[in-house]
Amino acid sequence: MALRLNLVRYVASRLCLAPVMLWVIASLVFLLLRVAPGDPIDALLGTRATAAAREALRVQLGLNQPLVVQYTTYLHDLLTGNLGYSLANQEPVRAILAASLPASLELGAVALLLGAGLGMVAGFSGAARPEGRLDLGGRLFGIATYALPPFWAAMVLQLCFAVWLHWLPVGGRFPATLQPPETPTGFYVLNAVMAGDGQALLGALRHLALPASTLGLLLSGIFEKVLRLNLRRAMRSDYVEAARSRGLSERRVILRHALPNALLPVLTLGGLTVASLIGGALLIEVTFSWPGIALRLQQAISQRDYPVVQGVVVVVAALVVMVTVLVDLLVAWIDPRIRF
Amino acid sequence: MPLMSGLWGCAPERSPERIVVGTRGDIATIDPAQAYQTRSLQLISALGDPLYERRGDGSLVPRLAAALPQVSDDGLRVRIPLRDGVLFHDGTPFDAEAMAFSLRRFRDAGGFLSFLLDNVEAVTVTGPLELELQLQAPYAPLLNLLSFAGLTPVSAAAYSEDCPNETAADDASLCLRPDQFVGTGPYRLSYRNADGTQHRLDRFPDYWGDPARNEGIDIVSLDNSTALFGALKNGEVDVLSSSGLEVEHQLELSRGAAAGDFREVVSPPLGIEVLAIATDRPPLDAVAVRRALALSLPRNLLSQRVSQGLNAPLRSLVPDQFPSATSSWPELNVAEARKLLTVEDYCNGNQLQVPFTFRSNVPTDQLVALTWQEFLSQELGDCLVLEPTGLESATLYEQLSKGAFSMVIYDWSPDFLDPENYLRPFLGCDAHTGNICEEGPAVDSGTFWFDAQADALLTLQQGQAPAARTATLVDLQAAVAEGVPYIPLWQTSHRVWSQEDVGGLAYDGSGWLRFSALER
Repeated sequence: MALRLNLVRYVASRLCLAPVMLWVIASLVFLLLRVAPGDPIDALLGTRATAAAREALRVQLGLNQPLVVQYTTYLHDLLTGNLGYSLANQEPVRAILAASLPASLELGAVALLLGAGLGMVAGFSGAARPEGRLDLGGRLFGIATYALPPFWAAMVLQLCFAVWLHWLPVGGRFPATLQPPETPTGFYVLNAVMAGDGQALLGALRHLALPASTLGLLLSGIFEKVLRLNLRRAMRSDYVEAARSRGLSERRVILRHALPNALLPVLTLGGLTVASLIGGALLIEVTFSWPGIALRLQQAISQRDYPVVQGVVVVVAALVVMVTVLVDLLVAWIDPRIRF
Repeated sequence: MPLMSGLWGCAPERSPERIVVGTRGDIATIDPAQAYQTRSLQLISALGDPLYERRGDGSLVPRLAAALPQVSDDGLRVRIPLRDGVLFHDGTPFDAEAMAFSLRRFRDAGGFLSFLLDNVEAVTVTGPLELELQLQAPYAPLLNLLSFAGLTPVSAAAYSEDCPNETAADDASLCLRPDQFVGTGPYRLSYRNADGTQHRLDRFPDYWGDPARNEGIDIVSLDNSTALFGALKNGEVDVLSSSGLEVEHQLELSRGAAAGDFREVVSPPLGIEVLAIATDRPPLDAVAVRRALALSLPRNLLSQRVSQGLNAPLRSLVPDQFPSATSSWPELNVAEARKLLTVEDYCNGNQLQVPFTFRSNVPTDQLVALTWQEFLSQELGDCLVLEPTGLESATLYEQLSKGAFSMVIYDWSPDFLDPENYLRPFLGCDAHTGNICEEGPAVDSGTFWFDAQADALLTLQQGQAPAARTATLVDLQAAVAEGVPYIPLWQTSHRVWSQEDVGGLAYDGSGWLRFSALER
């Protein structure tokens, strides 16, 4: 009973903090955008429009209102789910998110699978046979991939596999000559599978392969290091010694006793990585022209497109907060130590 | 690695009758009344037709117009007969009402370039295939303006009242969805993806003119120069324009073209890059000092070192494709610059320090600043010191009209091809006190320069016949060169490359790539 009460208290505290965090983030974005130099009216009309036209647009967009009024309108719109329209092309921010967010999520999900898989295989191989060749190779791999500058790694892989070898496309999300299947998920690979369109599936996979592999490779290093360290620590723990002393095989000791405990920090790391990938991997998206949310946000910032920046940041922050809370709850559910 | 090699042989099939064109950045809007980016207007030029087409020699030929316009004696009324038998992509006929709708919408919708039609007081339909423009004052550049891609007609049926700004009370406030273009051009838009990075154009079978030589164009937008460069190199795209390509990539592709790997075509010079000087404050309010700066600018060196010769040095505000382009600004003359500075009490231990602001996100601007700074320190180190500062372009443009910069560098691409469009945006002035402009383009461009003679010439050329107008524009530039509020640096051309098996690569007289001429 006490255990369940503790868990409820823990969940409640996490859930109560989430809206506060979102309010702080939303307010900071609003303020920082207005403090930053650059006028959205310049971005929209240029410097050659007449003063009357500039003022008319300022009134139309509500930018002539006092900051407090703009802020309360902004919060009210947010609470009612109205994210507004892009200043640059009048596109609803909701539509921009619907187009860009799935692109980032698709890239992030595949990259995370590749990165976590690769890193954990390398980490596990090293920890299972410490100081062996596999361990040394795995450690070098971990350090190298963790230390690689993303922009440089992406360009080198792009140069090798796209420009020199001509194996894969250099960028973009889908072949220019094909039309992506129109299904509501926004994930091209999933859409192509659902539509049973082989050409579209191949096209989507070919475009996804290089950015996802690059991002996965860069993520794999940290997974390798975390799993290796925790697995080695677990292998030296009392309960593993106890398992060994009961005559269990080494394989059973590792897989049934050491590995599950060593995976807990990996789960937390995975959750944090998912949270960071929701906002997109800017350098990868820029290098591979992947039309994700980070790329869109970067363009909106340079255009001083307030509604897009505000909308994207708030929605991404909400998702990040949500994922973080979920991961915390999952870890608390799995690991009783957290609840006390 | 196995994953990548496994996907290698699985490339989707491509029709040889279609051409893939690469471009930088997404195409946010294709509403002619709102579009101002080169890539948007390039797409509009394939989906629609203007009233007139500008030829390479500067002459106009009718497109949707049936003949050249008739201008009244007082220059205030322009009557335009329209072509019969033209269909919109939705099968409805094009007529004077449709053309008038698009012209009025361009003028009244509050777009980036709507001011171009400020001088048009009324657009009147005078017959099923004839309309008349009533001007507020004679306007010689109007004929060239009528060849502007932004004035291409779009069927009124393509517009929607479901607008985000909730002010759709009249035609001007209607919205054109980015996938709903219904024009009269050789292609119709059959697909646009949600983020504007992919456009599919199909040949319009009922086009009134020569049909496109390919079945269609697939436009793919990538976001960086390296990706575009790689896409042409590995055959992903058939045609690639230089717009948005880094200098190094352009040079590499030009070398590839020279070696026979690609085809290359260069447009006439279209853009210019200038240094703008704030003339309203010391020490640069002294004409002699500004002239010394002009004399100390090593254009040839900068052209070679910074652009590797891609950008040709320019001593005129108008590119040399126009007859009114004259080299009014002085050539490099360090000795003369030293003499002028000495007269102004500089040199011999008294250095003139000139802050020089450049756009930090434009690599060539930074290289210009650093190269010129080094040149001056070697050649005029005891007289003149350049102090370069980088500022992100959005901030720089915002601060320009506030007089934040003593000297600043930026580029200029015309809205439409007419010599005036290289002069008025720099020299126009709506209100002034003495020689200081207080309102108008000269303020927006950061010079605050007003000169009565130049202003009179700028007004005079508006109502002149072509030959007299050219002479006036030459005189105007001479007057500006005398006052040195600007120092032209170089002129820029568009370049386009294609795979060896793609023919028909050419620019039209307005600098747009002819999609319909491309063939494999």
